[in-house]
Amino acid sequence: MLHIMKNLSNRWGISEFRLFWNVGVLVLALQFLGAIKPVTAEEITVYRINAGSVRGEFVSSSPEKIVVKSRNSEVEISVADFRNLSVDEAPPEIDKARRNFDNNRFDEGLAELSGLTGVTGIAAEEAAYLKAFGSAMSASTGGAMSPKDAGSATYEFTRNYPDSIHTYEIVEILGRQLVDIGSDDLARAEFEKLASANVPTIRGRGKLLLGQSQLRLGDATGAQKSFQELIESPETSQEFLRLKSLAEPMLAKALVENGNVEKAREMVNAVISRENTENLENAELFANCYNVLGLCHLKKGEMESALLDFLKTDLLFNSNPESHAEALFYLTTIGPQVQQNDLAFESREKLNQRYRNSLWAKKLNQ
Amino acid sequence: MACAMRQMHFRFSAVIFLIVLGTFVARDSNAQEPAEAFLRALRERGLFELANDYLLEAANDPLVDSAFRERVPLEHAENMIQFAESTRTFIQKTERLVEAEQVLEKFMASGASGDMRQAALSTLGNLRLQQGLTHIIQSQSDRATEEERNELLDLARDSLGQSVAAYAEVRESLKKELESAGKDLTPDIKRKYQLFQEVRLRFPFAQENEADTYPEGDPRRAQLLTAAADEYQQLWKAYSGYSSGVNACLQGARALNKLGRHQEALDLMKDLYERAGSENTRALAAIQAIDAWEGFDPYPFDEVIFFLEPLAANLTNSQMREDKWGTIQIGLAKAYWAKFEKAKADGDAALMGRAKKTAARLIKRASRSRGNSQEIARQLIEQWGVSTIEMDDADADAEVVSFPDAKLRIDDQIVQLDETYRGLLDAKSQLANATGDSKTDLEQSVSEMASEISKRGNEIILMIDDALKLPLDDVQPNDLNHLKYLRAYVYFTTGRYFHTVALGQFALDRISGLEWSRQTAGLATKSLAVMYENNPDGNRDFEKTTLIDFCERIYDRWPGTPEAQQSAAILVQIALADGNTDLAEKYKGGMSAGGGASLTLARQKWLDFKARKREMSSEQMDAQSEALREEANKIIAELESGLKGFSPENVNFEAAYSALLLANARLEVGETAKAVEQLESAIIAPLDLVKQKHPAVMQSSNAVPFMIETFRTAINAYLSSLRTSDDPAPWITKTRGVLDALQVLLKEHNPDTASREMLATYAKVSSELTEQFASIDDPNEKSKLASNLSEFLVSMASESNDINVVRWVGVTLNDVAQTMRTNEQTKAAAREIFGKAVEVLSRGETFDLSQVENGALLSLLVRRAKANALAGKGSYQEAIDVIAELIGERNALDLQIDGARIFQEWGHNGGGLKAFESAVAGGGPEVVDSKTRRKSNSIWGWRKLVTATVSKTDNADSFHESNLGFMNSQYEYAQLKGVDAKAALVSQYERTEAKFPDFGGAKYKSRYEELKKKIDAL
Repeated sequence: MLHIMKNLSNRWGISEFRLFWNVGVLVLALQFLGAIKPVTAEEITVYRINAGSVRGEFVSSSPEKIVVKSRNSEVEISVADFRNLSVDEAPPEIDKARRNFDNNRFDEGLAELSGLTGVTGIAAEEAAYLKAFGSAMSASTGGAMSPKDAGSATYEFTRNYPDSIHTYEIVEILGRQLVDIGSDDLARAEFEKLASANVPTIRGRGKLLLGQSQLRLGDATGAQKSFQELIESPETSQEFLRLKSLAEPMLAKALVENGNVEKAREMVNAVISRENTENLENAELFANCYNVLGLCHLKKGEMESALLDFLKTDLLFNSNPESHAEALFYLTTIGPQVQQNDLAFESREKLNQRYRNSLWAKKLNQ
Repeated sequence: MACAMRQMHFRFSAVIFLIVLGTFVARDSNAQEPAEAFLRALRERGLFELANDYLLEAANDPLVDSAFRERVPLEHAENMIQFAESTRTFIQKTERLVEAEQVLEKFMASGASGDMRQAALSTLGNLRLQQGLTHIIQSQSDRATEEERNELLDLARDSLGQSVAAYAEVRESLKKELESAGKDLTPDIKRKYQLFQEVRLRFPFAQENEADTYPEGDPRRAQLLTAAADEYQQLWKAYSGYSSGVNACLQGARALNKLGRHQEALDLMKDLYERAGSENTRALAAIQAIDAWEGFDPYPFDEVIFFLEPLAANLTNSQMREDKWGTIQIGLAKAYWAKFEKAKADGDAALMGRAKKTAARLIKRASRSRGNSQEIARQLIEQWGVSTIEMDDADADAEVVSFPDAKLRIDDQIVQLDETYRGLLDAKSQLANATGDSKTDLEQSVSEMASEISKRGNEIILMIDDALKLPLDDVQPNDLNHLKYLRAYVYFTTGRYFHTVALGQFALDRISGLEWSRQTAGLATKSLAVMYENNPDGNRDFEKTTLIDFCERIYDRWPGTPEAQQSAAILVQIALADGNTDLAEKYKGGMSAGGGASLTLARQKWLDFKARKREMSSEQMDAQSEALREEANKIIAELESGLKGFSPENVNFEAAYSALLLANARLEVGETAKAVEQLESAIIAPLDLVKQKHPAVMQSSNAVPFMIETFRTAINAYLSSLRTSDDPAPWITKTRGVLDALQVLLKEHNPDTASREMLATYAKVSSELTEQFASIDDPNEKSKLASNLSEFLVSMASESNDINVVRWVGVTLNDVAQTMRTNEQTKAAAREIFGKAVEVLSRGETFDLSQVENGALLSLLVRRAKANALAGKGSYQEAIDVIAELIGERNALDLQIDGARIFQEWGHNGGGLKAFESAVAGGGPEVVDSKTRRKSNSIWGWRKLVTATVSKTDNADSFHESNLGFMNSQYEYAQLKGVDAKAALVSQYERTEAKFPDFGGAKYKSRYEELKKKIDAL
């Protein structure tokens, strides 16, 4: 740098001091006019699951981890511990969108993002991720976004940011979107990617989704195997244990499909007895349990009891869109058989309003 | 006799109770004299009469401590004072105080000294205090004139002055003794300490009340209040850790407020508020503080809000309805209103809006509480000019930021939903009996309310869903479960029973340990019961199995709770419907004495018993009379036992209904006096409840049917009393009174159907009286009842211009006479009663019925009854003429049967062969057929009747009546003429058997068998 300054002062015939002075004044003026910005690394804060946040310069990311330089040392955060991140210099719209998403207001969040321009770097990646996520949620919960547009947003993200820490999450979303449009075979390929990931919890989640996909494709035996592998896995992290629990009612569902209703019922009742129903985080688990119990009653022709089970999902454990949509589907179809036409009508309306792009709504309206 | 029996029963019960209570008292009152502790226990349980009995026994019982025996008169007086204190009516209060005064005066006149004098003075203080308070309350009556009010206040002042003096004397005397007593706490010293404390606490209370008898501004008033306030505060200092100290503190603040020393009152309450260990104490302190703040100028609304807001923020649904919390909400609303006024004066529009909305929201809630606060809140709403819309908007606009906020709004909506739902239930129950315009109005109202419930219900469900999206980290599981219960309640009120069952099943299966799960499960049980009831013709296996499962589990999981009682009652009903009495007994037995299920079972048994009896023929009843009586007595005992747990304070509709059935049952077994007692003066006396317009009856959707049935039973009981009464006048007066009341009730309830319902009541009473008559074996008793009854009925008919009354009287007289005519001893009396019936019905014939509903039919029925009465009286020709005339107007089978029967009776009673011939072959004036011009008898006779009815399956009864009449007439004719009719009779009998192998079933079979015996004997 000094060598260049010396050459220039010689060429222009002015003192080095004078040259320094002039360049300094020019830079300050340009800064003042906004023509140039100081070049700095992107400061981000990564929020972790069950641990404190890490603040520092963004270094790099891959689907398995994100690296942050904090206090002169690099910290690697695995995708298994990753909750989300915020970028210091990100436009406020990103935060507003995120808050809207937290309150299930997906269309409002997407509206915040729609006007964003000129965002670069990790902030742009976050904006794209949020757009993909919000679009998918809007489409799956009956919002303004069409499944096609949502699919485009997701696809765009995977193409533009293959090394994002959000990759696996978006792969899962993509898979679910494919499920919703009835392309279970394509979805299965996405879930297989997750099932072969190096991160145990991602792998576990992949197995769970793969099994569910297999069930939908009518491969109950294959599904049983996937769930069984997940349940028997030696992993013991808290998240993995949760995935194992989630796999149990799914395994029971596979058993129902294979005609083993009694064993399925026993298995689900054991889960219900073991787990805490009042823990709000267990909503998906219990929704699946009661749905499976409903299926068991259906198989035995016990329509009223089946109706009660699906109602429990509808009234008490309705936070998971997929299991809630499934319960609403069955309530719609069983209702008339037990002279509960109003209930059936109400459930149909709810399914079409809240989950109109779901597989269950499509199945109902076929 | 009944009274003596009652007393004996009371004594016996008292002895048993004393033994039981004695066991408990002896166990936990070692420190006290057993007799004294026992007496205290009786008083604490409100058993003052029993305590008096005990004192009476103790006075002469050598086993009781002699010191206590000496004090018996004093304890008696104390007992009567406390009894008076717990009594609501002034007359009884005064009577009890007079008794106490007499006993006390006698005791003091005997020259009591030392300890006895101290005790007597304390009792005197208590007596005068009660007398003074009674006068003050009387002086506050709206009915008292100014002069009376002043007189009563003078009396109160005098009594309270004496009370203060007595307390002062005994307090000083005890103080000196206790100061000089050593440190050794002998039982005697302990007792003195106790008395000292009691007197110390009452002393300022008497002073404060004496002060209240003086007008505002009177120096004596201020003096007394100052003294009382000082004493209260000293007591608070001395006993701040005890409830007596807390009470003294609250009373001290009250006295200071009366004196206008509001700052001191407020300081005292702030002190109490800080130290309070319970929410209740904090609330009481806040109420006194509200009074204090209102005396401040300027009114410190910000301070009021600061203190009251946290208290009012987390009220539960039931708390919100309590008067105490209503007062606090009003206090807070007033503070916000003052804030609004201030903001208005300052021109702060934003603050104005917020403060007004909060005041509106609070006052709206307070207006739904119970007691005085409700009235005050409603007055404030009017005074402030806050509209319902403003109040609703205030509620709707309030930002919901936390779970408690959301919960408050949901609770408030639930209160409104609940009100509308109750209104809907009431309207639906009224609709069942409504007609005309009122029915249309009610239908409209039901439709509007149902729509409002549906709308509000859906809003509440959305509010619950939103509440569950708020941060729930600090929310207790019980609070979350309360939302599940409210959700279940909404579904229940909107008829979404499967939803309620799903939530109830989850509560029972999974979270039965949480609060509100029991209530949710109870709602689910109700829903299943409704689903079961609503599906009488369909397959109810699911409803029944699930209902039984729910009830059994609730019964086991939460024994003794209302939900368990409800479950037991349902299980008992299901078991009885299945004929499974053992199972019914199991659940009945599991309930506590007086529990709902045991009464339900007893009631159900009685209704089943009555239904079975109705199906029985008189012969079957005769054959099983002993067993039936035994069964009836057993059910009576069960009803009695079930009712023991109830008093006028806790009576509900189920108990009232059971008491009514008990009265009915007593009538059925001939215990008329007990039936009357049950109706009029038992602890749960249906007639008394009706007269009082008791809420247990009036708030039930079945209030009107209950009142009608009570009046009807009373009429039966009174008329039945005529059978043993030498003086019928009182019973007749009572019967008329009840009949009048019944008529008024029916007209008030529904003027359109009143006369029809009255008629139905007459018919029912008539048939029950006839049943009673038939059950009387003693001819003298029967004659006495007949004579008294006919006197009553005839006088009633002679005063009435209602054709229904006249006809009822005529028919009843006929029925009564009919049961008497077969007995030689009562035959003559029967003819006399038939004669009276003829007179009554003849008068009825003269009524102009052209404007009366169904006038033509009524005229025919009156004349038909008259024909039967004429026949009973022995005027057969006249009877035949009347029947023939009626047949000319309307040729009906019933009339033809009447005609043939009258001929047969005539033959039986001296009419000879001709009458029998007419009975069989027809008779009466000849008539000419308009088409064939052929002549025939107006009365067909049995033969033609048999031919006319034998093929008509819907006329089986007419056939059997005719066939039996035909064969019996043939038999009697042959007997009279001396010819052999056996072959003809046997042939007819065999033809009957071939056509009707069961001989018409239970109703006719025995009559055929009787006839067969006579034929065989020929």
